[in-house]
Amino acid sequence: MIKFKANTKLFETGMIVASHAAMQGTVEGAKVAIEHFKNDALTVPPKCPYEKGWMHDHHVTEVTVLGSKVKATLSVVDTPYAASLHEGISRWNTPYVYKTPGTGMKWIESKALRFKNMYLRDALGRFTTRLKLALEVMR
Amino acid sequence: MSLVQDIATYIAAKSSFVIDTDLFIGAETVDTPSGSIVVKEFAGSTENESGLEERAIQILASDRGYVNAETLINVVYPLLANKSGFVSDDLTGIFFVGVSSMPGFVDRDASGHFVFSCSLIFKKE
Repeated sequence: MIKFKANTKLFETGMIVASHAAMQGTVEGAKVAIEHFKNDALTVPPKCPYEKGWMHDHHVTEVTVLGSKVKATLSVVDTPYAASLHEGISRWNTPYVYKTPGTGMKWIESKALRFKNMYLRDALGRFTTRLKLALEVMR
Repeated sequence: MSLVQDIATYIAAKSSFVIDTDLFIGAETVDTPSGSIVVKEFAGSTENESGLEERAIQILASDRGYVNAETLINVVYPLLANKSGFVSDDLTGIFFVGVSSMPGFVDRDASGHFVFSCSLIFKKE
């Protein structure tokens, strides 16, 4: 009788390292992508209606991890008029006039539509780099 | 015709809205009446990997009553959202209409109207 005994310890360790690296890469990728998104919202036309000030400074990014789920959020906090301005609705004058050139409504949503693939590449880039590094270490 | 004009014509044909009366193209007028719809394009239109244009369109509904405004946008939204294969002459060439944001209340405007908004992505050849 021939007995074959395989030692899978190295494989198991590799899988643990890879899964940790995958999570780390996903979180880092999400952070890079959401920061890029925020920067575009503030600087690429149509950009945030005010180039400096309260609303400009209250664009906040957050990456949360819940179990195996990673969520990246960009929100404008403590600014009750942000939603109206974003949708092009004014409470002071109808229709609202964006006075500063290059600024306009939908300064966030327009970037999500136009650059969504770029943000995905940002996230995937960081994810694959992390995974490659982890596998290099295991060699 | 321009896309927003085509969309407005389509909405007018499928509902009781009348262009330039309670259905406006491009922007709200200074004296936009209560109970009206506005169809406009916003920044963010792009071309996807399949070579289709993805045009970003916003639909606004405003009324002095909250529920009325919500009802108005819910008349227009189902006419377009997640639909494909338009056979109408007005919307020929539209492959699919995706949803970027579903109808939701935004704010009250200067006239005191409750305003609901939704964003749609028209995938067009």
